[in-house]
Amino acid sequence: MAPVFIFIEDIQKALDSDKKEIMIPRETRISAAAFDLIKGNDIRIRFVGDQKDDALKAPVDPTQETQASPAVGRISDGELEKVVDLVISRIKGAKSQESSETVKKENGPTDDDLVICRCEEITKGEIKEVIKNGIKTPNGIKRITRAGMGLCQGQTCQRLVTQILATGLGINPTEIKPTTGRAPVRPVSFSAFSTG
Amino acid sequence: MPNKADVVIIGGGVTGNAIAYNLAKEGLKPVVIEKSDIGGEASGSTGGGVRQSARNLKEMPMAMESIRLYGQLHEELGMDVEYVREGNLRLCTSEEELETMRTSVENQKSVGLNLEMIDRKQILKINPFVGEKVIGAGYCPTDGHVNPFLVTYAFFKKAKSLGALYHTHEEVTDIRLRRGKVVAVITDKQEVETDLVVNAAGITGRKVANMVGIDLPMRPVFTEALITEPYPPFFKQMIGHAKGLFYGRQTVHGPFLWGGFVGTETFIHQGGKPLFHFIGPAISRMVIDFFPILKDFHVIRTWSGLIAQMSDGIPVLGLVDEVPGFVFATGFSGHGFGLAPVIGRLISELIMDCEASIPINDFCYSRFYRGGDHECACKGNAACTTVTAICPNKREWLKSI
Repeated sequence: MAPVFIFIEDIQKALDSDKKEIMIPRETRISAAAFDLIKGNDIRIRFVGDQKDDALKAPVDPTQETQASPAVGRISDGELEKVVDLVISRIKGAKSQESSETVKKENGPTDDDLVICRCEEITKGEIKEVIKNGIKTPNGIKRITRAGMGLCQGQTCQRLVTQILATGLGINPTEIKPTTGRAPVRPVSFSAFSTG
Repeated sequence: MPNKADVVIIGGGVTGNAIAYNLAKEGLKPVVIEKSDIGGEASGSTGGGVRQSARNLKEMPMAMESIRLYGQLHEELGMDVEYVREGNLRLCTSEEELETMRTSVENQKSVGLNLEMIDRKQILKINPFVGEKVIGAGYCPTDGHVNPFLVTYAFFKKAKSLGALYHTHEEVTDIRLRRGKVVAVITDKQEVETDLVVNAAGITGRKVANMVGIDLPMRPVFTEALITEPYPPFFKQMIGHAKGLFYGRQTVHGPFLWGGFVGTETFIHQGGKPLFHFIGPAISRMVIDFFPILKDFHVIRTWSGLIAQMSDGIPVLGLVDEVPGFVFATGFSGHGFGLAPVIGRLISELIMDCEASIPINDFCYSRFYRGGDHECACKGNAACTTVTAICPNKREWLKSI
């Protein structure tokens, strides 16, 4: 859905008609000037099809994104409590999932979809699957998943694979022996290689 | 308290995993002990050719059955193993090579293999990229190639899901015998009580045999291979050479894989797996000679591996009279990968039913001193230590006393 913008004119209209509340659809972007006007006049914003965690997704001032989310609209103490609870539970959830499990988003890409080996397009999920099945060395992971078999010979993904393996086995990455180094360091054509 | 196992398989390569899978399918709980990772040695360095042609004729019934099994492997194991059955070309460049190839083709035809001699024109129809000097070839349309890592892994995964137990990164240090029979396998981490041990240790098969006091005429032969970066599909056949000097294929991912021999490999190996400065270039020269179109393709990786070469070039399989409870499945002499599915089944049959459905008498250990007249099957007697619960012969024997 394309973003809907709310400009200073719309706020001015609301002020002129003495309303202290405006209804806007989700995903609405608010211009900087309009935002100042809303703040200055204590206007309350409501979303069309309001739901309980809407407050979390309150539109953010495009010019002040680095600031802490400004209090657009007002929420009651009860609502605030709900929001705080929601935030806390999400932070806790994220921490417990940090080590291995994925942060699932509906229909969206997950942590497991992260491409680790760019040459062969091997994802984190594929590597974790192999570790789960009992493969314990970077060489083993390379053979089965192909991570590190591409053009760059694992120069990009080797450290990441080691990290994933260390997490999977619950050991320090320094305890893991790297994959066997394979000549040539850079791709060499048959004609050049054949001259020895 | 020491662990107990119905059967211990030493070696987690493709053979060990295939045996473990077949035994687990029969309801046993085999324990597999592997000193590195699954498929970490020869199964991790092979070229992946799956062929019947150019084999010892004694292996032919097994090889043909193995090709059939490879065709259904992805269904059986529930995993794609990138099997391509598009034929094997064994290229000849001289009249002398053609003559040798003709004899070999006739011999193989006589044992029922479907293959033929083809001339340059026919070769070009199958593979238009061969160089000028190729004048003929032996062509077996049912040969092919496979991703060796995935086959090993697929057997491993399936065996594990059926109840096989795996101890990787654990080395067998000794096998304990009592009154000449196997009673336990000792590793650097534990002791496993068992009366049945399968030696599927490949290149270390000789060392394992030494643990029970017998020796094998086996030595490691060094080999090297290289792979290019991925290219669009050129040809699907497995390529070989009349004298076996080089072999290769284009994998389904696009890279070309070539391996080869220069003739000094038997003598240069001193242990470990180094790379020698002259083998890679020698392979490259052969590749350019036979496939000039690949001249400017880029090599990105080279590696080496060890072949468990037997004095007579065929594996050792089956029971050993001298040591009841010890089973061989090693010494494949560089062409064991193509046989793995059938070896898994036959060794499992030998253990479960005391007899293999395809006779393996020619591969018995006793061939080294008794010739081929020995019958490799468990007769079921006092000497047989196979687990009573699974051995019908032994149950019969127990009833009779």
